[in-house]
Amino acid sequence: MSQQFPYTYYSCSCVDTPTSLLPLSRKSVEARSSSDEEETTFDPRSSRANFSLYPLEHLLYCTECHQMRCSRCTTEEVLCWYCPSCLFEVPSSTVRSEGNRCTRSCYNCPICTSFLTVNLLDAPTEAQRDAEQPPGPFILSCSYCNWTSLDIGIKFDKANNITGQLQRVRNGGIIVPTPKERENQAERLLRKQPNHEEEEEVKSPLEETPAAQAPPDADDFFSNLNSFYKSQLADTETSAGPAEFNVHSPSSIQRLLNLYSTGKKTKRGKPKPMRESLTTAEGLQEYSSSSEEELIHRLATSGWEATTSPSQRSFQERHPPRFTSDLRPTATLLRTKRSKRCKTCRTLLSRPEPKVNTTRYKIKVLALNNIPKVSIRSLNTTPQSLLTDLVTISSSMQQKEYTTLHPLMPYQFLLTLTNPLFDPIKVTLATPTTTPGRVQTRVTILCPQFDVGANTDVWDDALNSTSSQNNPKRKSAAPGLSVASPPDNSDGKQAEAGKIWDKGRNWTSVIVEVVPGVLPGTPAFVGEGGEVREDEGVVECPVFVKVEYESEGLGAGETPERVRMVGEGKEKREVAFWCVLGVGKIVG
Amino acid sequence: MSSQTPSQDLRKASLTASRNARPSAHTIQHSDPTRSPHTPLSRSVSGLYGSPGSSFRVDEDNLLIFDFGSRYLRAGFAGEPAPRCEIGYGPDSWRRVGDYRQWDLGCYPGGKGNRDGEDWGREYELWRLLEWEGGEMGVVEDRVERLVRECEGRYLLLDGRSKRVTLVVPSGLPRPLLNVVLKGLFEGLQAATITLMPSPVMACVGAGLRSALVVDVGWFETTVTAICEFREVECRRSIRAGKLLHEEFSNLLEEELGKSEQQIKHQFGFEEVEEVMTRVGWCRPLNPPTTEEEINSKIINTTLANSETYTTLDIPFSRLADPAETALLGSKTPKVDIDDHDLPLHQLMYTSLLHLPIDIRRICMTRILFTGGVSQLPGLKRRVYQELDALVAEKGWNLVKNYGSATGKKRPLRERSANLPTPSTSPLEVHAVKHIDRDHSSSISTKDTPTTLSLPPHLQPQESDPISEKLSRLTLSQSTTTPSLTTAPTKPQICILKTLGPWAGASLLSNLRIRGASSGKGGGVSKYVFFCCSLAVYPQFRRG
Repeated sequence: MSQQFPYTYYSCSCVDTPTSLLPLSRKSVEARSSSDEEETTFDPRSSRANFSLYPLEHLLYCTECHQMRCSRCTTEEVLCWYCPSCLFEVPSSTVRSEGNRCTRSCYNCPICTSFLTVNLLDAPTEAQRDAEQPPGPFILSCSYCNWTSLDIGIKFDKANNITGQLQRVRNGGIIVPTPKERENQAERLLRKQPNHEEEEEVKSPLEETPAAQAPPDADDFFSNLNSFYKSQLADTETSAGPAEFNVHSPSSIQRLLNLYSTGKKTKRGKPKPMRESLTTAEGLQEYSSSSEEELIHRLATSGWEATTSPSQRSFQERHPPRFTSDLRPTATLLRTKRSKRCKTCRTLLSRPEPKVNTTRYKIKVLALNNIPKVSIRSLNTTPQSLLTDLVTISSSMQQKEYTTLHPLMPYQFLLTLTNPLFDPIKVTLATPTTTPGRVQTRVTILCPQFDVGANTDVWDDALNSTSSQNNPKRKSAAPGLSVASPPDNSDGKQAEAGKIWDKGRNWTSVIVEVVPGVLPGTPAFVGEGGEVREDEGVVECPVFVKVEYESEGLGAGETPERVRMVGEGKEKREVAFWCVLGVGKIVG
Repeated sequence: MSSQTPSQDLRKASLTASRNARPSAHTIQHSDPTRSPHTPLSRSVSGLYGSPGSSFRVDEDNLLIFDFGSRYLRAGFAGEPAPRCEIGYGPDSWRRVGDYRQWDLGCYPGGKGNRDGEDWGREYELWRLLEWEGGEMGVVEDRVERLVRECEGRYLLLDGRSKRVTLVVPSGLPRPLLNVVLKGLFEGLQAATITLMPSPVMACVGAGLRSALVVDVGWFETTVTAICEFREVECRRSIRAGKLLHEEFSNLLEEELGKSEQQIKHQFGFEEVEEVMTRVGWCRPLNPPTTEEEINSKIINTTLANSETYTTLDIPFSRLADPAETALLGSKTPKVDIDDHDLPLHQLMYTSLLHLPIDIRRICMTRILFTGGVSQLPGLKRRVYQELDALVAEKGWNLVKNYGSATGKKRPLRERSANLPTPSTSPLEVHAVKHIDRDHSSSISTKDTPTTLSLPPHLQPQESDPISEKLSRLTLSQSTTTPSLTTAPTKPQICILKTLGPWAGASLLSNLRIRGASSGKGGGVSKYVFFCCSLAVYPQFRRG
């Protein structure tokens, strides 16, 4: 992985719960039942693992289910919509009607995606500068790549409401009706033509309209088709509409009788089918080979530079064009503030304040504050927190230590568990002796069972005289801060099996021994050869962490398997999860 | 929507009335050719005793359209001309959360990997059609789930209203894959209902047609689907599609790189090849005129972004049309080597037209639609049209390609069986053969009259039946289908029409709330008969 070594990923428990509703084939059911018996180890290399592994910072915690929650096992609700560029809060009705983009004047450059600014085309004279509203024309311009809306032949009369003005102008300054006007127009055209016998007359009004000057684009065809289908629907509706409603006709009498007969369902008749569209006004588009010829000619003469790149195309709002001269400035996408709920019990996990300008949260239950933090680092190096102030060169030098692991050489790492809870915890670690996959790295945790102290007040430790007496060499508050005596081998300390390495107020460190495996393609490799795949040289150890602790009982919402009542008001809890330790990279 | 609008009630009532009562009621409906002024549909009264206005609340829920392709996901709201987002599947959607390697310096986009290997471009596809047999379904599930979430979070920005989804899928999508997609939508979006629509039919709606030959030039395969009155009649496939074209383009680029004088070592990535393909790829006409020589000599220079130094590669413009020749049109492959699964596009279209029933063929011939990403290649439609035209002119509509040894024996056989008085049969036989496909072969008419009397009974024209003629005229005038169906048969021309695409078709359809006949809830206006099944009752997927 391209993350900085070392790192820890947590596997969210939602993988294990059988949310998969896929009907399993007999074979896979058998495979599953057999695997259930012997608790399969987590394989960080399996293709599905990428979707269930998260850094601890990305996880939330459900206080009802006592489990961590990733983005997969939460539901989201939008609290407010806003434009990230002008920080204008958009009401939900506007989002519905106007779409997911800013409708004011926030636009992005179609070439380089940076923000566009509205500028005066000509430098204003002294008199103009004093005027309240400087006279136009205005242009949109990009300060990064110097693209301006003049490149596509668009100028604006006013400096505000750019969206409204852009809707009326096509590239090259051709004035076109807005989508709404277009739709009305198309409907009017269709109303003029009651049935297709008069279709010859239809073309003349079309040519009078301003839209006929510009060739119709996909949006025009869409609105034409839309109004055509609507008129077809209306056609059959009116055939039985109020025009026909008179008391003397037998059908009306029948209908009236039907009204008073209760419960008797009339069988629906076969509806009249719609007809196909026949003219351009009805949305029929004919293909002409001349347009393609023109396109090829344009491609040949203007060459590579005039065409749009895939990223530019995907950045466009709709109908990605082929040539850069057809690009349109893109309105900024709106963003949302969302609250998150647990999918299983609907508890609120996080809820930001709905105002755009605040970044505070009303509720935010992080996994960081509820799940023990597992971290790993090389035994020989100084802790990373020391280096935060230093320049990146030293950090890259430190990275080198992790990225140059030699095969079949034992390395010692320091695994530290930090307890964020206010109760002392009992930790049991487990790991497969060799990592899964082709590169088999041997991993040994020297002390798999240990206790970690409670996350009491920082000053408790200092004020508590007995603990300082017991530990003549004072332990610091946090593992990263134990700088006074870097715990290295020069200290004379030896890694011993079954003993913890170091211990602090709410943290405990143990030694993990890692013997990197042999990469495929090297002579020492046993087994099927072949090339080294991406990320195969990365040593990732899956570790199963089981945490037991007793805490104040909460009562409701507890699952009986997990919690057993112990004494009065105390409950025994158990949290277990897989995590993946990224230790380093093997050199071939 | 569940409550019936009175206009529907009225129609229902009048329809039953017309069936029961005298036919005069029926004639009233159609006697008035000009439309009388009426209340627009959008303001239809909501109940017999109510007042208009409650229909404003009709679009309470979010109508969403999803179109899962093998390379892109298109999603948006019904009634809009284009999807809100078109997300391409890429390696980024495979990564772990918190893995930011794409922003690393020196990280090139567009995958390395062995080009000959199976995995070339694997990361850019959502599924492989044979994959569901293997154990990889879980990954597809995870990816669909992530895509739906990303799509909602970044582009759709949905509010709390209930969601009704229309899913556009090819009708041949394997059921396990469909299951995965449905699960992703039901769970990821908490959708209330999902309606399935077949993509070729939607392409048809997007063109305003009821019948068409839909040619979908996609990524894995090209499918040619004949649609008649919104029913899929026939479907044929060929592997000559985007993926093969992509491979040909990477071959071309490597050849050109070998030719160039600068000795650059460079391996083309997937995205790089695709960029060249979509930016400057094109397709020649059938007989390129000599005037285009100057264009052909023009040189396009392509930028090699991935190489260590920023260099350009010069490729003559005419070369860029070669991959389409080889991959899509198969003009360099001898006919013997072409198998059933890799028919060139025009041959595939010709074969499916040939195997259609004759009257469906004449409808579909005049309505050919192209969809799919690769159909955007400039000049492709023109070329396919020309090829198809030439093919029809050459072979006609005869299923038998070669009569072999029967060619010689054909004449005496006919003479004996036909019980003909005169031996001067040679013009007759020609006529008889032509008469069979009178509609489609050229130059018939004129010679008809002299020989009509001497025809054998099975070749004589049908005796006119005034009653059935009148009946058919009536039904046709009622259904008001296109004049090409109603008017006297003329020789149909092969004709290409444009479509707005399956997504836009579905958007039109679900915005107008035209109900499918088989959809669950009653009371809807069923104007169309679609292959659509509403999954409103799909207990497996419903929450709680």
